[in-house]
Amino acid sequence: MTAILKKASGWLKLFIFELQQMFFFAAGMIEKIFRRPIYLYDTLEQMHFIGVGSLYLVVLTGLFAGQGMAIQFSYELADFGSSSYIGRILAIAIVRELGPVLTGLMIAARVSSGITAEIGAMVSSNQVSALKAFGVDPVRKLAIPRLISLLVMVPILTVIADAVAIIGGWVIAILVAHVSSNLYWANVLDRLRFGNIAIGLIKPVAFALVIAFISCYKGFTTTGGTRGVGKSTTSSVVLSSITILIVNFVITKTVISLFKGYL
Amino acid sequence: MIRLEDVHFHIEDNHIIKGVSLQIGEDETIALIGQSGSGKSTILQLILGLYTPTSGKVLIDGIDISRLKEQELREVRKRIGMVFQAGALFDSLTVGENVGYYLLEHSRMKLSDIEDEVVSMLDFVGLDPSIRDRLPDELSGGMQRRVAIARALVSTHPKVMLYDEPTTGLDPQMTKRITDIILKLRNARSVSQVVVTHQIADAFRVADRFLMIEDGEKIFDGRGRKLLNSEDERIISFLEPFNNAIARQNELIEEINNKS
Repeated sequence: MTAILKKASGWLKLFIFELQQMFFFAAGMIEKIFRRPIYLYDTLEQMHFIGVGSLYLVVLTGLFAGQGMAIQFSYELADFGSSSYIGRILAIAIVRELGPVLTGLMIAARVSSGITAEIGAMVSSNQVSALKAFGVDPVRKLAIPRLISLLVMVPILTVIADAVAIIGGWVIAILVAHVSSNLYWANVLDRLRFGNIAIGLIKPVAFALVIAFISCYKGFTTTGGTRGVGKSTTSSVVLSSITILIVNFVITKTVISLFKGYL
Repeated sequence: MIRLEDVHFHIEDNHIIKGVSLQIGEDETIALIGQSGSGKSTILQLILGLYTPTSGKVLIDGIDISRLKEQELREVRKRIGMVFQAGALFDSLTVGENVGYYLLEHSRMKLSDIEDEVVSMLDFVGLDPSIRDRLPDELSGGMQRRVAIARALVSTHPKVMLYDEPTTGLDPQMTKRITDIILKLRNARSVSQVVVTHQIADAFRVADRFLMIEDGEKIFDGRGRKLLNSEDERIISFLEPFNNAIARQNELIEEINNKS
């Protein structure tokens, strides 16, 4: 029993230490956003990798998630004779929850693994030390362009995913639920209020920060050669995904508690 | 001038460097020898400020770099050229971009002038400048090391050059080319050089002085003859394979002479 407690306390200490290190790393990243030099070319390159590279993933996810949801709603609402509300419910579900979360998870899977693996491999092969030897701050050179790109591209991709999901839902609403196109769009537009759009845009910004902090931190703290890079990449994806879900819950709960009247 | 004063360095509970003091003068080439894992590369990283000593001082031109902030350290590092183990070239950049990296990053030189500097530096290390558009992966190990040396030299023409096992894993011909560059650099540019190696033959070829590190401690500091005549068991045991190889080489020469 004592051995188990000892082990558990060891893990807890390690967890708190890791959390503290990650916090300091994140604070350092935030502080360095506003400092020169600005690596414009690296930032644009990352925007292309994150934005254009993730577009097909986000479009496919949005389309099928929107259609799946629309099918579910159309059958459930038909029982109450309320099929006409499909656009209203779908818009809320997608803009507030499904769009940001699915986009966040997809980008976490694709981008955070890429970022951690790339930085981790650079650490293992001494390329990060070589950057330092050349008088370059590796966090500014490698992490900040990725952070800025994520902050710009995740909200844009989320808006695209939301739009595609709502269009996917529209197809199902017409073909399966037999709702008129005008009614569907009128319901959708009715729910696209400032409060819903704001919550749908706050979340991707928070998710972008989560992905950038975790993936860069895991990359820079990689040890143990190629196996270490693999471990860091896996833990980066897992941690980013779980944190996105937790942050999503916290934001939803906070916004609904504070701004219920505006939604 | 580089000086280490009673430097200790720990990673967690491991005492990696145990009270090492040393001095490297201008225009001097030092071989830092010792077995793998003895702490040689760590000393280079301490000189470059990549590690901060737990206690003691690391002085570069009289400035204790262990007390400097990261921003100030970056300025010091700009005066030091470092050739990492296996080159550590930026694998997403071409050879030309690697060699000209420092100038691309820190200078306002025109691209054509940077290109000229890259060509002249590739020429200095004996590489055909036409390779500048290739990626590091497309080069042999020896070529990568030479590109790494060229990259280190382009940075503000450093007064200090650090080499971390520059010849490890290379064939004898390539090893000779690398050691030739180190010698050429000593004669042409008068820089202080520290060469970390566990290959004694290379060390004897390039070094004015030898420092031997064993388990994080300095156990020898002196000239080559003194090293070969040392009666310290640890040094004798370290030099044994080297002496055996020489003896074997002499035996082979004798055998060939007898046959002919």
